[in-house]
Amino acid sequence: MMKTILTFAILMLLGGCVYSQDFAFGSLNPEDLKLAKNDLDSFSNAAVLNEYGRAFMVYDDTKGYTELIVDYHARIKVFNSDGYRHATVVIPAYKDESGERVDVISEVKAVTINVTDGRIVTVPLDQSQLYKEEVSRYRTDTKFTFPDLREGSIIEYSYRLRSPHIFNFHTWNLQDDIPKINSLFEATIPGMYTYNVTLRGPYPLAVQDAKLSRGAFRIAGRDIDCSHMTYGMSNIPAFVSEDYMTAPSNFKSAIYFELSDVYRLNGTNIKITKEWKNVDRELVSHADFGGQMKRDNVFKSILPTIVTDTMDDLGKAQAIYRYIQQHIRWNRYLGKYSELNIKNALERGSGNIGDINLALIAGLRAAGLDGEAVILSTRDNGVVNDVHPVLSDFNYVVAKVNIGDTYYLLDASDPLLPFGLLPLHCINGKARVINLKAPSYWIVPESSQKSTTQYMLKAKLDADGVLRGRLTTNSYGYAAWRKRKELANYNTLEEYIEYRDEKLTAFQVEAGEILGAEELDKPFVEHYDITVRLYDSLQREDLFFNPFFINRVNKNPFNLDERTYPVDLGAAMEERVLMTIELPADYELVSKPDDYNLVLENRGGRYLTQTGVDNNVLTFSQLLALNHPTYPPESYFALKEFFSRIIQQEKIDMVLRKKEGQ
Amino acid sequence: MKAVTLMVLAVLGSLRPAAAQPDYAVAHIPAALKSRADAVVRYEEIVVDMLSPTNVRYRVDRAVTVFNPSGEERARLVIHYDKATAIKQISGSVYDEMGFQLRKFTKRDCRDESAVSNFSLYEDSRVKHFLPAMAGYPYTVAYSYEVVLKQNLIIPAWRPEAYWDVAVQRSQYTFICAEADEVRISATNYDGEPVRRLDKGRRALTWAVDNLPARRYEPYSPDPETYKPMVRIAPVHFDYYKHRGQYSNWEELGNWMSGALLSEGTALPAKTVAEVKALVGGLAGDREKAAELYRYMQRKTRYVSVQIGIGGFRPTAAAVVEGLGYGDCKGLVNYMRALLAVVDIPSYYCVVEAGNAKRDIRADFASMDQGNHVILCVPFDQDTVWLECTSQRLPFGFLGSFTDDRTVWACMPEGGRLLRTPAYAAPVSTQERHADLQLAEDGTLSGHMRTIFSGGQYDNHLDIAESSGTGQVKLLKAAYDVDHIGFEHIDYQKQEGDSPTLAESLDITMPRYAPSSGNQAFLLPNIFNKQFSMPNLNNRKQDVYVNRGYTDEDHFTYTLPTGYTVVGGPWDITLNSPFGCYELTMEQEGDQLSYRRRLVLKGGTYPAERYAELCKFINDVSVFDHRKVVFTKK
Repeated sequence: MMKTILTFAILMLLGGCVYSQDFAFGSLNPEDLKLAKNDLDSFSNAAVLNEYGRAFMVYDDTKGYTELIVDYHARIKVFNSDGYRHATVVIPAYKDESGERVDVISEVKAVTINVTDGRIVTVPLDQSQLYKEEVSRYRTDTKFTFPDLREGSIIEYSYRLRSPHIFNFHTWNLQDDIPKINSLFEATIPGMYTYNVTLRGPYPLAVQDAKLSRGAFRIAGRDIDCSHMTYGMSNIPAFVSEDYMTAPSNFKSAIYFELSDVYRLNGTNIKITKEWKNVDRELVSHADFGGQMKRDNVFKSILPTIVTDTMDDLGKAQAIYRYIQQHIRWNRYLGKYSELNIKNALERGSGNIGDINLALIAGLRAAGLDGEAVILSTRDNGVVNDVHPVLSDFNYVVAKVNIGDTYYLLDASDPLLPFGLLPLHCINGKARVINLKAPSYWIVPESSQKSTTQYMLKAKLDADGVLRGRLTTNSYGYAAWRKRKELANYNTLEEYIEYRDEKLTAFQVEAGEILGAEELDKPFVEHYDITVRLYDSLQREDLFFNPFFINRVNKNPFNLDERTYPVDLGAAMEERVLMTIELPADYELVSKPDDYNLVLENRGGRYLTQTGVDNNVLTFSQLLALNHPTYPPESYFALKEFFSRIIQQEKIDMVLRKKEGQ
Repeated sequence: MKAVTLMVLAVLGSLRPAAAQPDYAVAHIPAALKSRADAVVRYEEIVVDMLSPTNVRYRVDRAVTVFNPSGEERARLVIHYDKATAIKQISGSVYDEMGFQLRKFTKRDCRDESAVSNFSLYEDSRVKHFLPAMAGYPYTVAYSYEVVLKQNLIIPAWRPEAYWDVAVQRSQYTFICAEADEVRISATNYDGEPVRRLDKGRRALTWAVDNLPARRYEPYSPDPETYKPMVRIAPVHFDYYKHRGQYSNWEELGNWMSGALLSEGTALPAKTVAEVKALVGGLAGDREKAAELYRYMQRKTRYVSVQIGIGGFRPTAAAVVEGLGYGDCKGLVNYMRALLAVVDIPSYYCVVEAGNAKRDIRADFASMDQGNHVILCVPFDQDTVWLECTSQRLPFGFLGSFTDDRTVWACMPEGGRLLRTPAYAAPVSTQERHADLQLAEDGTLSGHMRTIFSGGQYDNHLDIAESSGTGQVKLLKAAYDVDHIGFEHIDYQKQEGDSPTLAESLDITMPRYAPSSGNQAFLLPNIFNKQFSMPNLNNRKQDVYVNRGYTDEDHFTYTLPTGYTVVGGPWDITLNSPFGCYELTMEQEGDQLSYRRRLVLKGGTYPAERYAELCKFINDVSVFDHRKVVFTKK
């Protein structure tokens, strides 16, 4: 992710009058009319011709607090019917928990501009076609779609948002999924508020300007000077999501604000964005965070039923982890704070992420272990700001237990995760460790285990052309977790094996056995007695045999012609196949695919195959490994080529021939 | 009113279980119901009490035991409501495996959200729902709720087996109305007669099922409505958003629909009338005029769905659609109907159950809850043309797999009538592909490929045809998913008319597609049209149903490098089956290798015992489709 910190020495600025730089509503430029599909790129079906926003603050005397006002104005061209979806506008407005502080959308104005027989015809939005949808208690959407839309229509709209939520001022999204020719944002911020401003994304600002705006904010009968900032960008390409990438918000160009300081009129200063040491203190003393971590008394009576004195620290940690996994069910709500408090969560048997993992930490501490809290942001929530502490970036908490020289990261919200393996959605860059007594610090959580699968086939090719044998599959890490999750959906092993049989169409599963379904810290092992009908009979001279029938790669997962963003697989993976096949005595191997050893740069991956015959026993082994959880965009073509080679290799058969004179 | 309900329920009390502590111990579920079940409906009682056309009490008592994560959603309490539905009461409890109550929940625990479908801009529908989070399986959720429906046009039907993999221990449905009320009833796949009770001028009918084991979804099976029990109720006299009417059959319902909801709203502004007349003035036949107007409608409008109150059934006026340039299926059909009316071409507003699976409007039972889409029927002397009015790109007269081959309900001024939309049978639903490809020494294939799509397959690649640039290449890569494939000279030609066709022409390259090892090279000649294998199920229960037939032909000619010889001689395979046929030939002549494949799959219904046969046919096809050609090189 690219981030630029935008700073201004406001006091050095010269004063001056400030005029709005908004473009005139409904008055088109010749270029607007001329712009055609493919002028900007070859795939977009609509484009933003111009976009303007301005945000400023007003103090509301009756409400007694400062509100943010945002005026938004956009002009879009819709090239064809595939672009019609961009003509439906949804403006969300949020309410806080109490329902008192509400965003208000007003002054919605929208027109469609068509050129009909050389004349410009403007059709306004009928206000009766404006809908308010109460999505939930916390959100109401204002929705409309443009009238009389044609291919080539220009649509234009504006509205005002009045919001009591000033912490993030107004995020200005420079980049969207259609290209923008121009985007300009003016922010007028009263001198009493200081915001940290960050530009995200790879593109530079074309306009960046700051002025002093004298007395532009009035509060308690006083006029306060404001800083007036202008940010602009031109010719912003469309944002296109790609496979294997993390949250788009990590990459999209946008300007983010966060409130750092408020200077009161009486001269006092409230630090909003603080140093980590202040945040630490706040979290540790927070009733729903540190307050819960400290509640080891909750475990007083149950602890003896969970751990015994003879256990070592690791054994104790594992037992407590297992206990929380099995006794508190995740209610599907995220959050770093405890919602119910850990005692209630234990009693009800359910809770949010905060309830579960803070209970785990309290339990670890009750057993005399060194348990810390790790706050983080999940993959689809984007990465956290690592310059300033921005608590609202963090939406999740897990436990860290330190035993001897090592530590384990634990999330007890999923009953199928082994001890020490975090779910994939928690692997998302930096996370902050909060300790009750010591200062907080950063760590970068990684998956503690690769996603590994090993297939072992021991079989015999019988004279009737059928391969019979036993296939053993060992799965580790996320691979084992996925299988256990599947298995959980079947009430009996027989039903699961029947399902596997139906899924593995290449073989027939005759019987099966599963080990390690319950022991989460061990591999998940499947034994299946299988048959594969390879040939109708062994009458032929030459038998072609393709050993790549287990989990074959048929399609290249990397098929883009260009790649902009890193490839993020979340965890390293490894897949091994080992076969030993007893051939009929009267056949010999006459040709086989060359042994293959393919390596990705920086030890990023490996593909290896080996074939051999000894005493009529064919052995074949294959290894496919991707050793890094993420690859930079420059590695994309190497990955693409890597898989391309694998696909080619897997097309090659070995040839068995009837021995002469037999 | 409340007192009346209570009294009636008390009278009918014997239908309900004793009020004592219910038995939700999992051990008491019959073993046969636990087999292959994600959840079991322990008890379900639905009572619909039609006190008056605008006051219908709907009460549900339900208990569901969940065995595993897949069954979880089956225990969710879900109440859909709108302006014509008032929620009176919600209460529930959660029980552990032994049947001990763990905790209770009420209306306050429910989440309230808008329930606007993903295809709509706006609807007035909302939902209240609740699902407890439980630490382990199994557990049981029991709840009851009551709502008042302020209309009786749509009475919620009884579908005791609504979900796959869920067993039903007991489900019953009672409909109560005044003795004098006329109601029509449709009970399908239900053995026996309902229990009837008569008391103080009120009549109650009860249907019940016991101990239905869980059913699993079976591939190639018919519409579940053809074998799962269902009871539908349609009062003869109805009241819906201040509209009153009566009907006993499609004719009468069509009559009401035409009169109350369709008769107005076809007027168009004078300017449009003049424009329309000028547009078709020079055209001779009605068919040409209709085609011209259809394209006019496609240019001027797009599909935007808004459903509010009676607007769920009444189309937006044509003049409004004209002004907005958008409408939902009803509004757009009505607009098209109005355009045709300007030039005196009659057309019928037709209600259809749309979707890839074909479902008929039922001839023997008229009810307003059937159908989810509207299309337009334009009858001409020689033939009838059907118009899908929500698409900007379908050709005139083409319906596609969304609404083909099914019974629809046409609303005509003289009443309702059932009509049938055209079918695209296997012989006319074709995909014909010809390719001339050069095989290079390094295994790279390149050349020209041309594919013609028609009938039911006409729109297979329509979206690709309509896109362009890198977006089009992305779609092509998804359709022809071969490693490193490249496309050039992409061209699409549409041929409209009675049976429209789409011709796709591409230059393709597939680097190192056919690798070599030693003096052998390997080529999978079927590059793009390989049949997937399908699982053979033990104990197939349902009939075998092939929803839609088709014919695919591939003819590939490969020009080989010198010295390449096919190992093992030519192929000549024919598979004949009641489900269709498959022909495959491969032969080398000089440096030319010709590969021909023809697969015909016939639509239709076959007895369950034939499933293994279908499976064998499909899997044999799959094996041959994946067969490699091996060359020796000199």
